[in-house]
Amino acid sequence: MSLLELQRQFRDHLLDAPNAIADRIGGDSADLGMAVYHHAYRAQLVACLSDTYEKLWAWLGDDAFHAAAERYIMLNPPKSWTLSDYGSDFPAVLTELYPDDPDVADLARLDWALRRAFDGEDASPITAADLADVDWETARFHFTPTLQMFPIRTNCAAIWNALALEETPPAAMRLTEPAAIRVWRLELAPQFSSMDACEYESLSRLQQDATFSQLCAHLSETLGEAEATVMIGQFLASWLQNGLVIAIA
Amino acid sequence: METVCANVHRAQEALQRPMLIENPSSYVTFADDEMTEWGFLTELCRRTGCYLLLDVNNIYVSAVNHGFDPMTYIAGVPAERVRQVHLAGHSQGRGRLIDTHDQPVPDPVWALYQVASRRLGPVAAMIERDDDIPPLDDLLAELELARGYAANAEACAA
Repeated sequence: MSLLELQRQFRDHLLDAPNAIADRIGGDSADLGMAVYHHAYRAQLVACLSDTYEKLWAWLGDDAFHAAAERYIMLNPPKSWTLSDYGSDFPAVLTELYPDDPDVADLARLDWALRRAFDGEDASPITAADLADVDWETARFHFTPTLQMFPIRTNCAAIWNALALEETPPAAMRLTEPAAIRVWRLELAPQFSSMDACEYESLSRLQQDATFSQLCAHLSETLGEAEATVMIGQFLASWLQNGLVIAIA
Repeated sequence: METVCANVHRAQEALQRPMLIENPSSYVTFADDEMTEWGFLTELCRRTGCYLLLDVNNIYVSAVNHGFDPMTYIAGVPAERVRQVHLAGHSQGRGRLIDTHDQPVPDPVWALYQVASRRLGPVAAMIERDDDIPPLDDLLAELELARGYAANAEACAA
């Protein structure tokens, strides 16, 4: 048997697929040895998900988290060379498992985005002092590579913060207005912050390569010029202060 | 052997430096096995110029699980290729010792370490502890034990 075939038989044993690995094992009590690997495969992946989705774990409790993790592991064998990619689709599985509790998938998305930001690419943000030579007519924004955004339906940010402080989290609530969260890393610390729909849309447009003047025109059309000017000023100040912007050119 | 050598060559070329390969704890052997693990590692070093990270706890765990003499393993590795030693604890599972890194280094592993130290000479050693972490003083006491055994081995060699 080739090494590749042996490895496939071994993998199928781990995944509970039909296999003939027992015939390839030397010595006696092959089942005792293979049981160690069979257990470790699941236990290590549960440990990986528990680490990445730490706040979600605290929110769901051990039993519910483990049940969800085991279901995910059964459906999703690791495919990447690095364990740090494992669990990317866990929020989708949680949406299926908890169709009436959007807080669960929201929290999962937040945990995942923070972990992505943690090992994302480094970047040097600019400050207001770097804006002197910007040609605002043609300028496009370049954001820190760890910036991620997603819409939320619940007060997941408040829940996450309370869990991080080991305080009693608030009850899950649906938001009455559309909102989103942005996640990024500043120096070594992952950060997040909530945004209203207007800021989310503005940041998304710039991230999708709109020019600054195109964004201003769009906001003036929807909000009126006076309010658009105020909003743009607030957004810009907040993005620069957060260290989200690495270049405007 | 060809597959592992090709992979080690590739990694060493990308990194522009030799690597250290660590011996694992294992829980099964294969019917088609042609070499001992120490024989395999010796040949791997010879063919690729890589070095070894010798995990003394893993040698003990595998020796108990597969019924070989751990002293034969220590005597069988190329001493001049070993650049680091790992020490750790393990747990008794069903019919197998399990490399869990959540226990103090036990006596049989210390005994092997003493033999390894005498054979390897002064080599950096690290105690691995990933879970059930005890108070710092306990870990420092374990470190002192390791330093004592290493110093003893050096005194014997001198």
